[in-house]
Amino acid sequence: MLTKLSRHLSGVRRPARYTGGEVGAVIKDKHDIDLRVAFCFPDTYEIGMSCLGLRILYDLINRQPGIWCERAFAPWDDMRQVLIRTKTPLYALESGDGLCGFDVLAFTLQYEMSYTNVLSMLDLAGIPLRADNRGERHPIVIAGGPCTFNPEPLADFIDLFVIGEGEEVIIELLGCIRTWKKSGDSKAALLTDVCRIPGVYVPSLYNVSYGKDGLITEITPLHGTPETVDKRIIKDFDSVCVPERPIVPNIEIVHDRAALELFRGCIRGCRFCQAGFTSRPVREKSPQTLCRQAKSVIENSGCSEIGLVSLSTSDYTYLRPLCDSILEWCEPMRVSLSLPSLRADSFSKELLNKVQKVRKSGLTFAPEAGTPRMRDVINKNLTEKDLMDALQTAFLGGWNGVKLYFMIGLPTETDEDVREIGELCNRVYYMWRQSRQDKGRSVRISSGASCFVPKPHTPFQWEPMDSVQALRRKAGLVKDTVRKQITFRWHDPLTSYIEAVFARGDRRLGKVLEQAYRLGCRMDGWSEFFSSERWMEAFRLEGLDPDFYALRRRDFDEILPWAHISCGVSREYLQNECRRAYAAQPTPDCRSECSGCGLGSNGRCLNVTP
Amino acid sequence: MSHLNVRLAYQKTGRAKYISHLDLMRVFARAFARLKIPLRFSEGFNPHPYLSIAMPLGVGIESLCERLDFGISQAINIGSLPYRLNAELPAGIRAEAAVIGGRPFAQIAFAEYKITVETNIPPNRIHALFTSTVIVSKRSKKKAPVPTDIVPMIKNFSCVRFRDGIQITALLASQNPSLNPEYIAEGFRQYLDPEASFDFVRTALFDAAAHPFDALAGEGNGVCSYPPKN
Ligand code: SF4
Repeated sequence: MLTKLSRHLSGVRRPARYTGGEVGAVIKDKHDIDLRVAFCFPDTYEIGMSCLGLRILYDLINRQPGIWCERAFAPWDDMRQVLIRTKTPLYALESGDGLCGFDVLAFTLQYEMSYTNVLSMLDLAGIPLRADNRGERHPIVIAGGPCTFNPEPLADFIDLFVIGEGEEVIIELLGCIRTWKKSGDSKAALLTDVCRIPGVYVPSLYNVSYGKDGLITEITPLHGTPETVDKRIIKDFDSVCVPERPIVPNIEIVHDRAALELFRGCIRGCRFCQAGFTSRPVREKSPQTLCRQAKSVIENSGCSEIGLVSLSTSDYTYLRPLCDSILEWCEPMRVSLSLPSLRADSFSKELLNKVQKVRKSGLTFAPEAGTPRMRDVINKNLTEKDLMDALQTAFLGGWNGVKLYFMIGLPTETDEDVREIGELCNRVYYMWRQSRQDKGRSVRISSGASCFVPKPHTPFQWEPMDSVQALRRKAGLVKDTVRKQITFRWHDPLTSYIEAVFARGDRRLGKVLEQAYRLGCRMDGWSEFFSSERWMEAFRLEGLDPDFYALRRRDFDEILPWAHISCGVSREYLQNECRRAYAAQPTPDCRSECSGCGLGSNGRCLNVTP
Repeated sequence: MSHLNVRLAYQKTGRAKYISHLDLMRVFARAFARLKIPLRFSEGFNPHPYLSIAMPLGVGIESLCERLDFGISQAINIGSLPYRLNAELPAGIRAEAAVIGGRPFAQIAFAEYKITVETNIPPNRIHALFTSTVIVSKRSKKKAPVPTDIVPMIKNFSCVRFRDGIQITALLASQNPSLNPEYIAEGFRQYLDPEASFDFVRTALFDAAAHPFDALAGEGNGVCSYPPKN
C-alpha cells in the first residue's frame, strides 16, 4: 500500500499519519489469524490516538490469540483525494490492507460531528454505506462509544451497536462473530443471535413507527429481541489493565501524554452532562493498582507527562496519597503530573504544588455558569468563593494564566445570568491584579463559552436548545461585558445546532446524514470544513425540519428515540431532576447521599445496598 | 560525574522518511526514556533533554548517514546501545553505531545524495545543465525567496541511467550556504521535465577537505560512491 502511495505522501500534510510503523503497533502473522478487526476512529490520527478507549480496546483485542486488531483513521482532505485519485481503498495502518477485506469494522462514536466521517470512511473503503445494501461478504460494521446512548441517527448504517463500556462485551461479541464465521451462517442469523448478548443493540431488529405529527408512536422489537438494551459496565474497574506495550505515535498527537483513568462514573450529577448519567455508578481503582499502572504506563511509553484522567479527577478518594506516591518516582525521572478536570472547590495549595513540581502546565476551571442560581439549575455546586480562593492560591503561587469554561443557552437562563459570565471573568482579573507576584508580568485569562446542547439521558433531554440567533446575541452580551485584557472565545452556534439535531435525533435522520455526506459534508468538527449551508440543503432535500429536533420542547411522556436504550438511570429520576432544575434546587452528590437515580434499585450501584 | 556526549549514527529510510525532524526528536527522547538512559536535562520550568540532530532532513528524504548527539549524566553501555535502541525505534529508523564524543557538527561541509528521477531526459543533458547555471528561487527562513544559481553549491555531480530513469549522485554544500536537494528537483522540473518525480537518499557526510566526516556508518564512507550500485 505504502509503496503505491509513496509518490503522493510527500505532498500531503503530516504524511506520518498514514504510515503506521510506530513502536507498539501490533503486527501479527496473517496465517495465525481467523478474525481481522479494524478499529476505526472517525477523525484524524492525532485525535484518535489521544483516545484512551481506542488504546485500551486495541490492546485488549490483540491479547486474544487468533484475532488481529488494526487501526484506521479518517484521512484529512488532501489524503482523501489522493486515495480517490489513486483508487486506493482506505487501509488499516498495521497491514496496509484495505478495510473491505476485514471481518469487523469497529467504529467509536465520540461526538456527533464525526458521523459524516463514518460514512466517508466506509465509502473510501469501498463498502456500501447502508447496512441493507451490504452483502454477506462485507465486513460487519459495529459501533461503540458515548454517542451510542442515542444510536438512532446511525441505525441505517451500522449493523450493531455496543452500548456502554466495551472491555467485556467486545470480547464476547468477537467470540460469537468468530464462531459464526466458521459456521458459514447468514449475517441475519448472526445478528439475531448476538442481540441476546447484554449491551448489544441491533437496530434492524427494532421497528419504529411515527404519528402524523412526526412523533414516535411505538418502538417494537422484532423476533423476540429484548425490549430494552441495558448498557454494559465493568463492575470491577480495578481489573481493567493498561497496555503493556502502548503505541508510541511518530507524530505529536492532541493529548501527547500517558493517561491513566482513576475511576469511571461521576458522583456529581451535573444536569447538562451526559457522561455524568450514562457512566454511573462511580467505580474507583485502588491506589495500589493505580500506582503500579502509573509506573508502568510511564516506563512503557517514555512519555514525560502523565495525566490522571476521569470525569472529575479531584473526586478520587485517595487523590492526595496517590499523587504523593506517583511524584516520588516521577520527579527524579522528570515526569510531570497533570490533573485535568479539577474542581475549583478541591483546589488547594498542596495540590497546586504537586501539579507544578516538574513542569508548570495550564490551569483550567469550568464554572460553567456566571450566577449562583444558574449553577444551582445545572447542579454544578460550586461557589464563587471556592473559585476565587482556588485562583488566589494559584496567582499567589506565581501562575499568570487561567482558562475558564462556561456554557450559554442553558435552561431558564436570563440575560443577567449571561452578563454575569463576563462579570465573573472581570472579577477574576481584579483578583489577579491584587494577588499577582511579579508586577512586570501580564495575565492570560482566557474564557470560553460553548453552546448548551441538550443530550439524551440527562434531565435536560426534553429541553429546547436556544436558537442560533439567541446564542449569538448571548455571546455578544458576554463579549460586551468582559474587559479587554480577557480573551473571550465562543463556539460557533451553527455547529452546535447540527450537533443538537443528531444528539436527540431519530433514525429518519439517516437519509439526511447520507445526503449531507453526498453534498460534501465531512470533518464537520473542523471549522475549515463545516458548512451549515450544505447541512441545511440536506435537510431541505430530505424534507426534514432540523428545528423539530433541536429547538422543540418535548413532553415528559413523549416516546424519545432512545427509549429502548437504558443507561440504568430511570426516567422518573430524570424528570424529577428536571423539575428541581427549574426550581434551582441542587441535588447532593452520590457520596454525600444517594439520590436514588435508579441504578441502586436494580442492584447495579455498588455505592448503595438496595 | 561530568556530562558525556554520545553520538549515534542511524538510518532513516522507508516510511520513517515521513517523520519530521521535531517529531523524530520526541521519538528518540521517548525511546531513551523507555530504555532508562540517564539523559542530561536542561534546567528550569520546562526541563527537556539535550538532543541534537545534524542537518535536519526534510520530510520525504531518506538517509543512511544520520547523526544524533545527546548528553548523558551517568556512564552507560555504549556498545549495546544501538541494539537496544532498535527494539524501541519505529519502522525505518535503525541505529547503527554509538560512540562517546565526535567531531562538532559544524565541521560537516558536504553531504552526498542519491536522487532517483523518473524521467526520459538523457543523462548528458542533465549533466550539462547542472554544471552550467541553474537559477531557482531559494527560500530562506526570514527573507523572501531569492533567485539563486545553485551550481556553485554543487561540489560534484554525476548521473547515470538507472532502471526506468536516472540516478543522480550529487555532493551538496551543507554549510554557509547549504543546498537542500529539493532544489535539484526544482531546477530539474523548471529546466528539463516538469513531470519528473524524485526520490532522495542522503548517503554520506564529508568535511571541508572532502574527507569522510567520521568513521561511523553511512554508505559513502571513504569516497563519493558512483556509479551507483543497484
Ligand atoms: S444509585 Fe444513588 S449512589 Fe448510585 S449512582 Fe444512583 S444516585 Fe448515585
